[in-house]
Amino acid sequence: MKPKDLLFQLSHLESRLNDFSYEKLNTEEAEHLKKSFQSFKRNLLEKISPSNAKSHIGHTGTSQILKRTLQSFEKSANMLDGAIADLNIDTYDAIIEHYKSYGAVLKSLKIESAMKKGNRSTLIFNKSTSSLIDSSETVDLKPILKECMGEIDLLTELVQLYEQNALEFIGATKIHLQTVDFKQIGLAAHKIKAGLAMMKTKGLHSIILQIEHVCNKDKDIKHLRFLCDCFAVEFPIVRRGLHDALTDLRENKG
Amino acid sequence: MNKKKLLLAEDDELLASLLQFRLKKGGYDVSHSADGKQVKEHLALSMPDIIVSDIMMPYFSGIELIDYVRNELKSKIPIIIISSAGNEENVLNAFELGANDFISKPVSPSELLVRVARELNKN
Repeated sequence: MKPKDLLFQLSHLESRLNDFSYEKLNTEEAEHLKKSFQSFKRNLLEKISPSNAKSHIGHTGTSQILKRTLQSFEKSANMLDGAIADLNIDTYDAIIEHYKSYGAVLKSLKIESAMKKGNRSTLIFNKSTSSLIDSSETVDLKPILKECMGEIDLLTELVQLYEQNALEFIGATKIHLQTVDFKQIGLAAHKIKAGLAMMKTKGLHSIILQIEHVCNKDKDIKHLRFLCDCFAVEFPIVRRGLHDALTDLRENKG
Repeated sequence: MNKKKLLLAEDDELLASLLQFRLKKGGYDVSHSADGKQVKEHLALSMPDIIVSDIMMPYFSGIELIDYVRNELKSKIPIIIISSAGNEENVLNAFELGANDFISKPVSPSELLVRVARELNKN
């Protein structure tokens, strides 16, 4: 296969990855997959265009990097239910063939099957149905109540502030996404980050960290929109969890 | 016994509420400013015994605050900065400008109380 054809196929694959990955994978997987792919592409370009490669890396060195990158890519692919665990790294053609089937494999993955895996994020968002599939994250307010020295009224106030901050963030993202203002969304994410961590709402905190990363580093608007959607969908679930936890604490205290 | 005056400069109300509560319980006379403008206004009226300040604040950052206190007000009062993880460059700047200590977010109120007491005891 000629380098030009290889690059063409890669570009095609990249556009397909962009189309489906954020909708079918959880946020961490999509991020990992994308990064692996970008690393693969970068190293492949170095291989094809030696002038772009670092001078101290010879042909063998580049091959090693490429092989390592492919292995990394394979590792990330294995996360997807082992669907393409038989990825062959011996030849580029074989890789491309596998990549061509990648989209189909991923599209055939059932969200329900993904949810059965305990170590997966709870944030699997299916845009086609506009629904979030469950959230197993439970909110434990006991550590915060301890920090509040048992003052349930203070804890209630903190929960209200938490909600207010989250709603303000959702509002801010709606405005700034229209103007593709990464800086303002990044600042809004930064502002809310500590509160999310403080209240131990790990799911939302994880999304915020990724939003901040995308705003400061990747600047990928499609990924950012997806993450903001995730936050907006996940927040009401977390809010219910917070209210339930607060009610439990009140009842137990009473 | 006079309570030590502490100025808390933090724009995140959630964090500020918890810290204010714990610092007051810890025996401090706490004032809260939610942005840099309020901090300057407060400092113009009275100087606290210690400042606990976030780095990223509207109008006037924690870094600018340290510079203002040390170089314009010529004050040596202890300043503890609050910083998010990944903000190491700002933390270094803060120390270079004269910050006494820093604590990273999410802030543990108990840890902050210990650090505040330590800085006040030094003086």
